[in-house]
Amino acid sequence: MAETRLIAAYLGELHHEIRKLSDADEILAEVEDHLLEATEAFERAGRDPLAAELQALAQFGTPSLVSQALITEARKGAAVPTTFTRRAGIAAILIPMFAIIGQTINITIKRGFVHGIGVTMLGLIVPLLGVAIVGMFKRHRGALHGWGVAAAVVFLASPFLAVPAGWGAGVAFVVILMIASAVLAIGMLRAGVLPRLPIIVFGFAGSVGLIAVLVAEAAGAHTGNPIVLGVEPIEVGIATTSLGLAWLGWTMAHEHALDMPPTATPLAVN
Amino acid sequence: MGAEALKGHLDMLLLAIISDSPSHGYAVIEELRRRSDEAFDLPEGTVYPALHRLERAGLLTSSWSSPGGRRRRVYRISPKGGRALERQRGEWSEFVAAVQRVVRGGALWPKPA
Repeated sequence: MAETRLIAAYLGELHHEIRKLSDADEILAEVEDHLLEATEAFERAGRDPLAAELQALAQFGTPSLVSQALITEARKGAAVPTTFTRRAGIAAILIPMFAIIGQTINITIKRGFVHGIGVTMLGLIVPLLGVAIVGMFKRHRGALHGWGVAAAVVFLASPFLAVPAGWGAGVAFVVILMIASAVLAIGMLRAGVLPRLPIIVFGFAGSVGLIAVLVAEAAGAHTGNPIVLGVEPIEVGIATTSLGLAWLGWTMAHEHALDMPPTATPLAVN
Repeated sequence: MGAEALKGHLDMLLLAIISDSPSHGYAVIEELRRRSDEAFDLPEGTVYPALHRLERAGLLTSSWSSPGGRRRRVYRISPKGGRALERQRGEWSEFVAAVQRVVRGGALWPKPA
């Protein structure tokens, strides 16, 4: 059996670094097995016990380096791109396109088949949004922790929470969705699975835009011109959140899907 | 060759080794070193997070054994991992073939007259 005083000290330090991980004990058992086996191999190769132990530890990496890698991966959970998350990304890209085209048709053409197409496109936004949001959750499987649960609860409760607003239910619904998006974005930023900038735009730009326009309106109201920017605050919020969503969708749609069979045609060029 | 060069390929390499034989971490890393003629030199401890991620993603499974009274975690490839490896091998072969066609003198642009 190899001399293991240095290994014991190493394991103690590593344990301190990863103590918050739920599977810390299993990781330590695995690392100990590795280090002991490596030390024994070096001893068989002719090294004295201390040199063998030092060599095994040197090749394994410092506790801070190894713990950093372990914690980073643990935060990501089982977050891997799949065929579904890529399709969800495409759904996210389609949402602002359908919103712009559908609303343009809805406003400019008031009747007939084309008007029906515009209304249909607007109606499709809801299921597309559902697919996009579910895809983002799946892309972060196991990595969102409590933030994901909180965001899911707010997303699912949003229609019921908006109802008491009466005629303002539509606006309330969108505001609640933005709150859910912000909560989800916090979890996504902590997970570090997708790029930060589109997450920030998706989660916070809508709320910031909404607040900015409201502040500007308040200033305008003082001068008797309530809408100084000429746009509804809620439209600014929707537009910026949609931009972030589409950006995230673009990122997700271009990832390699781990579950894609060899014969399948990729949805996007990688 | 350091960790940076391995970035993006480590999953495929680990899956390839474990698909040949269920192995514990030390054996996987030794086999990685042996097959690469010691070209892949990265801190061994950083391989374990990758193994754990592949397991969480359902591409590997693991079980514990006790050889000589020591706890040992042995990894096996899952059916999903086998399919992922097959796909990655195909993509890798296409990539290598394309690079070789370029660097071994294929004319990308017409030569000036």
